[in-house]
Amino acid sequence: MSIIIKNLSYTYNPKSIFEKVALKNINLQIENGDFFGIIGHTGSGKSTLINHLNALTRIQKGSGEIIIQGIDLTQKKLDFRRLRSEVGMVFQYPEYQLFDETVAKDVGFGARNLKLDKKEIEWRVKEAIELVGLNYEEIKDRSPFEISGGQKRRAAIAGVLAMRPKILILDEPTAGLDPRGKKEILDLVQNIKEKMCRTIVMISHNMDEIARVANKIAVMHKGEIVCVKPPKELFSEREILKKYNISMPQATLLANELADKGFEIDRGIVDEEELIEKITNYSGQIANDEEINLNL
Amino acid sequence: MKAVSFGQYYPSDSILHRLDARMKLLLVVLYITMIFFVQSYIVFFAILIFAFALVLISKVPFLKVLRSVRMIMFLMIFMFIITTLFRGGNVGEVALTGDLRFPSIYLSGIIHASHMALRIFCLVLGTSLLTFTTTPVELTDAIERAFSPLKLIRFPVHEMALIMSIALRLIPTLMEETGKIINAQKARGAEFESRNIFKKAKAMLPVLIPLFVSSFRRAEDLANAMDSRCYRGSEGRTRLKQMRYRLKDLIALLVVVAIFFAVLVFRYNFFDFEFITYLGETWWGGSSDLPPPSII
Ligand SMILES: Nc1ncnc2c1ncn2[C@@H]1O[C@H](COP(=O)(O)OP(=O)(O)O)[C@@H](O)[C@H]1O
Ligand SMILES: [Mg+2]
Repeated sequence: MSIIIKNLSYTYNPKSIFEKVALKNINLQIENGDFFGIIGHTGSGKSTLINHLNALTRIQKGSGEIIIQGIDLTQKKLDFRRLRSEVGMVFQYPEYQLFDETVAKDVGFGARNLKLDKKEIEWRVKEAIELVGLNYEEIKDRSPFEISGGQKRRAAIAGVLAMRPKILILDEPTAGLDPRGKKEILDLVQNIKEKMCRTIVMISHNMDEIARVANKIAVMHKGEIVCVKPPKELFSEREILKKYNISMPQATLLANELADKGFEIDRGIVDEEELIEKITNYSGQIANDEEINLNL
Repeated sequence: MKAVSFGQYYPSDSILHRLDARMKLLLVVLYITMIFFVQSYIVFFAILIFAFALVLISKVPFLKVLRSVRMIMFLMIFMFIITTLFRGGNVGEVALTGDLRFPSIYLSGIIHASHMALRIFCLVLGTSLLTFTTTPVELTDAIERAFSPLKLIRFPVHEMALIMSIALRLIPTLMEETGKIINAQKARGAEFESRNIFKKAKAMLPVLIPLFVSSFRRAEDLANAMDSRCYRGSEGRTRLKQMRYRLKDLIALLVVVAIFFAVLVFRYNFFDFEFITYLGETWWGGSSDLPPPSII
């Protein structure tokens, strides 16, 4: 078990007029190898939750516990360096954290903070930059402020990867990108999962995205986790979707339309490819069966 | 919405909140001037009662007010000590410390120093009451009005006020942004808790640089947004919120002027009241400039 969260609650500005309960009794288990999605409306507590996983937000006294790779986050004298080399965190708009003179130096910032030796740092920087799909030789000496937007985001992600975390947490990594940029970053995250970080936790507002990559999805609502399910199950549960006002992925929407029209099709399809395959096979059948009137 | 409490404004619906901001500004100026005419414990005491009554009326919690006074506590104590040590006595006064060359502390010195400390306390109390009950935007508006005669000598009053209100508006945004960047760098292993001041300054670079970059970006966005809405300065510009004096503003003015007058009477005894002459000869009713025998 990679991440265990038990009875976690959190209140901002406790005992003041600005008091705000952001998390209520959260219980969650994330296993090694999971691609764990978190969805929920703005203000539902997603960011507060993941900030706990890196001890950027400390657990308030007596409001639950978190254990990550055997590290107990409730302890006072936490080994931050160890924790942060286990858990990498990519915030929303990570490109706004770039600061150093060159891309290579910036990517190496985290690795330097781990007090590794020079050779090791250099090696990791190269590995990270290449993993995010940038050309190391070409980009290493350029200023992080003069490269393109997409490159900036990749460089910022590389800066986290250079610490070689086993768990990677991403807060809306595709926010503010065009559809193509979104797809590229999503592919990149999948590639990272394969090559470096076995466990990924990702927040997203985009149901198509999350349905495509996650194997489990947690739905947050007003500081609570209301359900954790694999995408196929989640998106076929109409009541839950309706109750928490969650939209469906495009593929699921279309599958549902078809099912409403009387086609025999699985309502929980979340993947475009799968849907296309189903439809093409179907039309093969229809060609022989003239009773059904295709009314699309 | 996140409750960003910037500066001090404490939202409430008290009469002090509803007074016209220009009037409040004028009243605070009067109040400050008045404080400089006070020079006896008993009048300070009366002023303090008045100020605390205002705090009660304003519905701002006492603790909050005291907290804002706490910040200048150090200054008060420092000035008290320095003044008592170095003021010297009145003509013919014997030091409390006898023949010691240093320190030579005089009773009149202690009285003088405590008057100074009280004066600062009263000043801060009054001005913070202004900022507690007036939003920064109202305040800059009021300042713009107060200085608008300077337009005659071509001083850019409107522009200055605009700069002020933009700055005030952006402070919470920048504070939030700073928090985010600090978190992002912490996640990359940055440490800000170092005791060593040089290390600390160096550790701030990864925060300051992105902060500068984003401020410039914001400034540019704002300038473009203003341009595209045809902003062209104060000429012919009307206001969304018209300021108007009302009866309550007049009453407030009368109250403060009356108190000011009373303070002047206590100080100069225009009408030769006997009790004021008597008070003037006691240590608690007179100033620190009294000849030594009568002080005790
Ligand atoms: N620094 C803060 N101070 C006070 N309240 C906050 C702060 N950060 C978040 N909140 C509040 O906590 C709740 C959860 O916020 P957040 O975790 O950012 O939600 P999400 O990431 O799902 O949009 C929101 O209601 C938000 O207003
Ligand atoms: Mg968020």
